Amino acid sequence: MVGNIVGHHKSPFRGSSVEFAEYRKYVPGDDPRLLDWRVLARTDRYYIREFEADTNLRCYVVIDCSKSMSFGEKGTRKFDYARKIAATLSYMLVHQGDAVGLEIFDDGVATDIPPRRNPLHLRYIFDTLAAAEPRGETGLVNELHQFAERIRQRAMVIIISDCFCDVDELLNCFEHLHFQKHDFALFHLLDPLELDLDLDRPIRFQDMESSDVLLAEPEIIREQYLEAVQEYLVKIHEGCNKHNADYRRVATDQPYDQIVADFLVEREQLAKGRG
Amino acid sequence: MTFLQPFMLWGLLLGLLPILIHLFNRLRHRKLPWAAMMFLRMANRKSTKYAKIRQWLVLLFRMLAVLALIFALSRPLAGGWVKGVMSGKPDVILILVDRSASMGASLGEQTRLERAVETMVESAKAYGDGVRYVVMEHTDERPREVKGGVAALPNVVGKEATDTAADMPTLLEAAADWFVETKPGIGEIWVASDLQSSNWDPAAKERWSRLSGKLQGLPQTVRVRLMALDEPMPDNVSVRLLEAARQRVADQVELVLKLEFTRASSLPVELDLAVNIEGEDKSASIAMEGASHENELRFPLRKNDQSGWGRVELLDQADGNARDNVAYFVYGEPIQAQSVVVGAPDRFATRFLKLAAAPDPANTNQVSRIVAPSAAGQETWTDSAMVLWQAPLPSGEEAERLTNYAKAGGLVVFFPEDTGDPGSFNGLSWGELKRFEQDGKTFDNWQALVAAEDEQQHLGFRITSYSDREGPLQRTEEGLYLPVDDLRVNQRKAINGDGMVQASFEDGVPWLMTKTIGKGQVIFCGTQPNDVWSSVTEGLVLVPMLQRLLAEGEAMLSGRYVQGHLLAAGDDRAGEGERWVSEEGGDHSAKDFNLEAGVYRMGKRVVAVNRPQREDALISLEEPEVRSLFGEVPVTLSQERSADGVADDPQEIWRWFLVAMALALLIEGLLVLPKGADERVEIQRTATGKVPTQQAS
Repeated sequence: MVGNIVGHHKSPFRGSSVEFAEYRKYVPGDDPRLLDWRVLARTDRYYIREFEADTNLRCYVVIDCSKSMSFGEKGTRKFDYARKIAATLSYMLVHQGDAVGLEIFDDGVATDIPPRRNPLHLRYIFDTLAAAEPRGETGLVNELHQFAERIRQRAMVIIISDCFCDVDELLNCFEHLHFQKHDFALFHLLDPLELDLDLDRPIRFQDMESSDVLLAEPEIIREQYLEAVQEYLVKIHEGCNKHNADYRRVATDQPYDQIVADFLVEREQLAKGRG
Repeated sequence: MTFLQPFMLWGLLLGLLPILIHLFNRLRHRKLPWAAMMFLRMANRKSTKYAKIRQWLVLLFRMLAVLALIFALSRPLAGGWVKGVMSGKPDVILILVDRSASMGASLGEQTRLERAVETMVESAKAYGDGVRYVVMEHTDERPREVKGGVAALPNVVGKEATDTAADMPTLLEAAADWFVETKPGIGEIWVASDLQSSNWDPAAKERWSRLSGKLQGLPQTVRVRLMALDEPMPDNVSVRLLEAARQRVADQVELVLKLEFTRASSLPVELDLAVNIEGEDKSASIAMEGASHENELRFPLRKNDQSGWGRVELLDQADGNARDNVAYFVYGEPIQAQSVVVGAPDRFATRFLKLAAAPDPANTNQVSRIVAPSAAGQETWTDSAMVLWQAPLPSGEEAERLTNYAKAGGLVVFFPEDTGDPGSFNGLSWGELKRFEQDGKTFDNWQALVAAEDEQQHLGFRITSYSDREGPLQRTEEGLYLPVDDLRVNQRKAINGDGMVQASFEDGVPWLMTKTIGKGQVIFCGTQPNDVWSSVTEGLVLVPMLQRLLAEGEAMLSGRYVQGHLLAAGDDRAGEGERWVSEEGGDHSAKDFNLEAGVYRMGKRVVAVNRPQREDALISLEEPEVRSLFGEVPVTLSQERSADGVADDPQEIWRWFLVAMALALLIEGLLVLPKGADERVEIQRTATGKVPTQQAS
């Protein structure tokens, strides 16, 4: 993890921690203080002893705040669910000394809170989350591109969205984030009803992000609907795998604490694996 | 295409139900804000290609199922190519059997009836057991279902001919009614008859025209197949009793039998007769000349033989029809006509009526008696030729008994009371009581009216209209009028009801009204035989009127109740509840009064029943004549089985519509069948949200 202060996460750079990393040959310009004198005395060769540098985490929690996130027919609203995940993760990260920032997108950038790691900042994040309400169309694709450009330092990006946008464009965003060497995870929130379309009787579907209306009989179009959803989900999942993103498909009737706990445990195991 | 139940076609409107339900469902949609519209749009686009077609197909097949059901219930008939795929069998064959006496004629070793049954069975075998057979005989016109197929057919048809005459138009009308009422599908009417002209009544053109119209008016084609059994039979002689009388000649008592013999040939022939009188066998022989011959036979009787019965039988082994060789007779004392006057015995009107009903004390054949109204409840009236009712109208059981008497052939004459009478009898009732007034002055009796009259003047209610051609007021045999318009009516009671007015006053109020009830009559007379009311007490009108009615009542009653009268089998049927028992005993004890000739007893009454006279007329119709009777209705002979016969008749095809309905429902079921579990799309979900790579789909 690339950080600017000492933290709990391994930095890609060598530093001054107690964790030995490797020996390497001295090259002019190296700090002579880092020479391993014992090796020099025994072998008359110049080696530099390097240690792992511990650093802190810079994490951005990105929440899709488009109007579609307010859907919640069977479970809780997707946005409320997103708020819970964002708040939980922010709390835990700040309390372990990591910096957490918050990005809320609707059709533009609604909120941009840069990462900080003090408790007051956490309070600010909570208040911002509480005050946010879904509105407008999804601007996720554009905003993620701009966001990827905006943050120069590598960071952990946690995206919480229903991803109701063009899949190919969304995968371009993921590629962009991956190119910028950001470590990112996607919490793909979906209402259970959106996953099974378990409705009878004809229904006039009103698009939440536009004035479009569609009269359809769920019983007739269910098969085609589920096929379309399936195709879309597979595509996103494969895109995430391709760009080393951690993909979590979350139905809003699932307990969020289990989702977050599993996410954290897996990250921990991943970190140990790297070490 | 025609339909047996066309009104059911209104049900075709129900075919719109699936569409209406579909539209109604679409109308009662609910609104739902939706986020994942992109998938819905995609699904909707895809569904137009197949799912919508499937949806419309489902609707179409539902409609077809409903329509097919309605069509099936309407019982369609189809001809032409549609019918070509089906068998040519009719659905039902209604067999009409003429069991008249002439059907007992011998054709070699069989009678005509036996031959008819044999022909029917042979013809029916061609169709097999897949056809419904119903038998209707002329004797009761009651449809009898043949259960057990063709083989059971001979068991349903009566084994022997009867002594009745058939009324074929009535039988065919009953057949047409049966088709109208039961709507049995495509049918054939098989008629087994010897085409005896008197049975077919070709002169009744209007009746036949109505009948053929009714048969043609049936929604399905009904063919008539004629089994004409008109082959000539061996020489036949029939015997008929014209009269049987017990006569006293000097100090001898004789039985006089007037007989008529009929045969086709006019060659002289010697006939041997066996006569049985009260169990005693006698024989006689006569020489018959010509085709019809009347003969009178006299047989001595014992003086104490007041009444009895017997039979005359023609002895001829080679005779063409054994059923017309016997004539039955009964004899006895002349009948006595008894009139009953119901009224207070001390009233003038009652006594006057008693006298008018039997005016000649020397005539012992006419008697009358008075019954007090209080005792009228015990009377059964059955032996009365006429009942004169000078009392308030009867009600309850009393009225019912009197009605039954009238229905059986009795005559009841009602006269008005001085007071109001709110009752009614078989739809007739008394109206307003009115006394004649002139210048506000009323008169005590009809004599006072006459006294107040000037020359050429006629005071009182005047009867100006009456029927002098027929009825009780008709002219005498000499052509003389009854002096009805000379009657002085001082007081009258109007008559209300739907009877036939025989005489009426100037102002149209009826004076005499008759109404036929069953075989008898009810008569209302608007004035009482009393001087205060009218001059009918003079007797010039009322006495002859009552005598005529009495003669009519006597004639009507004698037909049923009085000993000695001759009846015709089938024409004079037993009334309701009557049980006539054969007097002959032995093998003949189980005879049927309505079907067989014989001597029958019911209580003290003994009657002789013979063949109807018309049954002895052996003239047969030719086949073209019979065909013409049926008009446009297709008639084939039993021997004919032309290619344009049944094969061209429309057939019932409701079963095909039921099959179509079942198919439509089956296809609809297949279309709406949900996909199997292995074909269904199911989106993977895990508790942690982590989707394994290999299970991404």
